[in-house]
Amino acid sequence: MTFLGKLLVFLCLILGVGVGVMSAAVYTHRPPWFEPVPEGVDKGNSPVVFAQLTAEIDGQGKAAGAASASWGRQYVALAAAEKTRDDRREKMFGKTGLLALARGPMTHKVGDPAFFNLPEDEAARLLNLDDRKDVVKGPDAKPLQPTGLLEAAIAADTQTIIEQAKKSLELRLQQKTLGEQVVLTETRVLKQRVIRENQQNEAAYLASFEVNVAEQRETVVRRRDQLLRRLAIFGGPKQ
Amino acid sequence: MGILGKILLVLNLLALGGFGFLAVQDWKGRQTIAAAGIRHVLLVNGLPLDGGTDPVPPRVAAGSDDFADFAATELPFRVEVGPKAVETISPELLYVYFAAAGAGSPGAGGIDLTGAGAPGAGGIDLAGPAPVTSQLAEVRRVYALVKAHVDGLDGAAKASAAAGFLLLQAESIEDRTEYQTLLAARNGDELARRLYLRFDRVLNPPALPDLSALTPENTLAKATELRSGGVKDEHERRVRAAHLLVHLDSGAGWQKRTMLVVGLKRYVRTVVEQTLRFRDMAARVEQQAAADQDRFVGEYAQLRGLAIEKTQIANNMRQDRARLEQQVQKDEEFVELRQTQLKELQDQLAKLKAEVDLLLARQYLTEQQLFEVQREVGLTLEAIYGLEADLGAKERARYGAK
Repeated sequence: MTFLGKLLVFLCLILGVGVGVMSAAVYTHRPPWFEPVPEGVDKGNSPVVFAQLTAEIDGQGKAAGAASASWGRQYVALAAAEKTRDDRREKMFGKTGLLALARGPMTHKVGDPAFFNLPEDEAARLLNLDDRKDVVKGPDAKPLQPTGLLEAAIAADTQTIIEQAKKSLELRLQQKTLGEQVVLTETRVLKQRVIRENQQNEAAYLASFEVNVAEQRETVVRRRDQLLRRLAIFGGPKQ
Repeated sequence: MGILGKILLVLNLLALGGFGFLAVQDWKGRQTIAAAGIRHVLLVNGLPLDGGTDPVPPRVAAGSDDFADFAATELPFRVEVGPKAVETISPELLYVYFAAAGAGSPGAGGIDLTGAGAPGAGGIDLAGPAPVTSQLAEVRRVYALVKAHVDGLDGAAKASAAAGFLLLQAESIEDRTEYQTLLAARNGDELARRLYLRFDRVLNPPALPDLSALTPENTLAKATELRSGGVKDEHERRVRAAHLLVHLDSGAGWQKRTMLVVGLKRYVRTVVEQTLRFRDMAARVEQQAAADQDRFVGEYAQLRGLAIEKTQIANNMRQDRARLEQQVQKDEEFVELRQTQLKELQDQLAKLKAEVDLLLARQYLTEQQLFEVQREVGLTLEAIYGLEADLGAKERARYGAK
């Protein structure tokens, strides 16, 4: 065997040993991806095998699905609670809600009920705001009216009372004035009556006096005529 | 060298080539298995929080001229795989990983977290298979999309879009109520500011506040500041990033992509935590509804008492008014009576006056006549006296001498 042959044999030996070592290293350091799930894991280590990862992904996937469904349910519950609260707030405090009705909207028709005894839902411990069958009655046994409407009625009545009182006062004053005028006129009537009576008396007196005067005139006329006749004997009165 | 030596040499060379081929195949196989393993690990634990190169180089199809360069590209990407850490990965791994995210389109089937049409994304498609190298890179990508979309709107549309991204983010009923109030007021600018603040809290978390100056007295006052303050560690940043991403949109495509970015474990934990928050929020809303009712019952009872009291007053007032109206009516009647009486008296007076005047006139006339008659009588008497004197004189003249 030549030197070259010996060298090649030696190289083949080296290569063979190298390949053997490499093969052993490849085998011993093979990735554990396909190994079965270990029974226990040391602290700080998290061996990675496909079986374990797949199981975890499956488990987490199912958990994600369940969590998502639960999330959806809770969100729906939250949205429903918010909607319920908003609806109830609107029914209680809104522009057309129960408090607004109790205060008295402009559109409230007199006589329509404004207050209700609302039943409570025992399970939810919330008032049933839609059940308005039990109407609250007032002291007059009629449906209790809104405060605003009552205030308006009181204000209107107060105004009417003030006006009526004022009118009554004016009428009383008018009565007093008229009374005084009546008394004054009565006095004047009485005086006129006295005057008339006096006038009538005077007229009666004058009538009798008139007769006397007329008789007196006739007497003096007859006397004058008598004298004229006597004087006619003497040639008539001197001129 | 003999013929045997030559044959051995050729056999050795062939064996060397064979071993080399097997070694390359083994390396490729290991790479493929490792890539699959890394994708499994990523799906469980999520992408690294930060680092990597953005954007990921564009994908090159296998067989193209540049594929060799593309396949040889190594992106910095640190991920723990068992006891070892992988420091670099191929962009192809990320493309394959994100291919599972699908084509996007929010709300297009799949898992709908709300189950009842909750607010979805603010009108844009955040999902899709575009790869990113870290969770913060994903936050930055989405932030750019959201900001461009929201800033491109104004008024009610801006408010609606920003609220669409924000409403699911709320971690307390106070936050949620605030967002709803801003949405009702159509305050798009403020909603957008709150939304961007959430991104900034993840991307640029402020430093932790100095707690040394806190005293029991001012702790409560500074609670809000502390709550919205900096993050403690990488874990908290991961938590915040996951919360932000998961609740940007409830569409199935986006949720799938979020799972890939934050990992299944973090995704499940985030969803569960928010579920618990939703439950607490719903409980708070129910408490508030009960408080609303208490306030309502108080005010209603007060109004009811007031109404009863006012009904009594109104009834009294009505009676007083009726009484007064009757009185006024009587007064009016009395005035009318007085007026009639006065008129009668005045008529009577006028009549009397007329009578008196007539009597006076008659009296005057009578007196005038009497005066005339008396004057006539006087004149006649005077004439008589003259005639008598004349007669006496004439008689004396005639008969006096006898």
